[in-house]
Amino acid sequence: MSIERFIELAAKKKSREINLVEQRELSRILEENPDLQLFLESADQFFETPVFSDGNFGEQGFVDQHWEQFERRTIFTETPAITPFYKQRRFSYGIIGLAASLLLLIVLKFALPKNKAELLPEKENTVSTNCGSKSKITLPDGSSVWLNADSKISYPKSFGADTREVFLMGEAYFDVAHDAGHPFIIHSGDIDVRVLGTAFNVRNYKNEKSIEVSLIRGKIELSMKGQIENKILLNPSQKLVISKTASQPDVEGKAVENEGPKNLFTLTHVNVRDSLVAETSWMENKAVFINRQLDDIMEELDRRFNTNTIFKDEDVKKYRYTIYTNDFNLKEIMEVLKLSKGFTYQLSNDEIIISK
Amino acid sequence: MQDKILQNIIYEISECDSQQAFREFFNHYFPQLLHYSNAIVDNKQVAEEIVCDTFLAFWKNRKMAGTIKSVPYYLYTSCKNGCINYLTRERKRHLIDIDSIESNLCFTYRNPETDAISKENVRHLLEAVKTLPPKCQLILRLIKEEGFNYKETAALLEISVKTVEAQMVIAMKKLKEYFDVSNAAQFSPSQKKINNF
Repeated sequence: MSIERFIELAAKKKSREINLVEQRELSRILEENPDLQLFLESADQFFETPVFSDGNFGEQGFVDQHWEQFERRTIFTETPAITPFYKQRRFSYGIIGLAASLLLLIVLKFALPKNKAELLPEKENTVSTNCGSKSKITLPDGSSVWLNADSKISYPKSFGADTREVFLMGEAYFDVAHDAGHPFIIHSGDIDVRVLGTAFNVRNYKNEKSIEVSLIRGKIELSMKGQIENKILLNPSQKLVISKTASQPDVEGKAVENEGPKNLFTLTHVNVRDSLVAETSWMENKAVFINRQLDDIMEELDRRFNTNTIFKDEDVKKYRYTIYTNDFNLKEIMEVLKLSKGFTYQLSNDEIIISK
Repeated sequence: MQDKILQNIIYEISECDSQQAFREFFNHYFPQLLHYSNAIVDNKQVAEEIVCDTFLAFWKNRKMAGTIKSVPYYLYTSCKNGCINYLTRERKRHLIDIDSIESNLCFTYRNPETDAISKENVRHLLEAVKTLPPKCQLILRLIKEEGFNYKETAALLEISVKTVEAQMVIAMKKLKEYFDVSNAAQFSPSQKKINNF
């Protein structure tokens, strides 16, 4: 083992550029040379502490002076040179406001309108993926759709005639070709997403408690099925989480009362870390899990690799992990998880048994 | 600036036109960008102008800020372009001359006493950093404290990724050297060989 190699790996690690293979090599070196561990801990502390300063460039008085100059030069209320054309109606982010408006609404039945139901079974194209596979398709209008594992998308042969409509179950990333004359609409469970040339992610798995729509760029408009008047406009980097279990209005338009107030919608931001967006990391074969419980993570891995995880211990299910990997490879991920917070596992024939 | 805080600030700037948020943004990045741009153009006054122009452009384009993948990188790149435009106009150089960064870059450090760098070993490792060449220190700063990756750092200094990697290894070696000394490593012949790397 050369100390030079250790230094190289340590440099990569502290620069956050180390990959899984190198991380394992580094862990092995540390096991064999525990004294190096001390150095690495010291380096960790050092890297966590800011040591550079901006000198007199950074002095508050100096900065304030420049801010004042900047303020003088800038007309802050001037209309920006580049104004996105969609900045018209704004959804007021009061969740209570939304609930109230839903209460007042007379709601139509949730069944698909007649003509849509006829459209579905007949002439349509369907692409579906199983656990363990991903797929990319190009729609007739040139839009791209990346389908994650265990997902299904279908569209009628008349796609593009009037509108461009697709039906989704599972998770997909859409890069929609711009075509103002033909609105692109995605139906998924109870939501309709209306699009005009954008890139975003829709996540609606049967066994999950919520639907997530994450917008990367462009603009999209969401509405609940059958309530086209109530629209939610998303801006880039926003994420809308729609709870499937919260109170739903019944046919007469009144919300069914549950035990406590439940959020039907939560508007939040996509999770960005080191320029990697968590919500779409699956597309690039990277994985980003931010403070997720092990049972959640294993569910995701099962879907991705078509495996079946069995927990022999209840406590282990609740262990939380935050990991970023550049290589979505089952064995490697299990090892990284184990290194992070230990458990034992057996991997055989697509079955993973996890215990303490 | 932490991710979450920055995200909120960008949101306030791009969606709410918040001048207050923009001021916070300015306060945080102005000194850094000034330091960076001065290293390239070697002229404080020009550097100030370039940095202000960078912020002005950012404010004008604020509506698009939400779509930027990495705002710090965007900001630094915008500043870099301003510097290159200046250099080209003045017919001084066509590229960033990395050697000139070596000579005119002056680093300042946080004061261990007043800035609560309480850990003895951190202070000691800071001494190690002070002995590194300026280019190396700049690279270390961009990676360690501004959060850029190899690719971004290489692009901002117009050097190769390999060079960035190599410089980080040099920095790490120096840190280890100082660490070993402070831990009273025994100087045996083999140890001596290692220290000569």
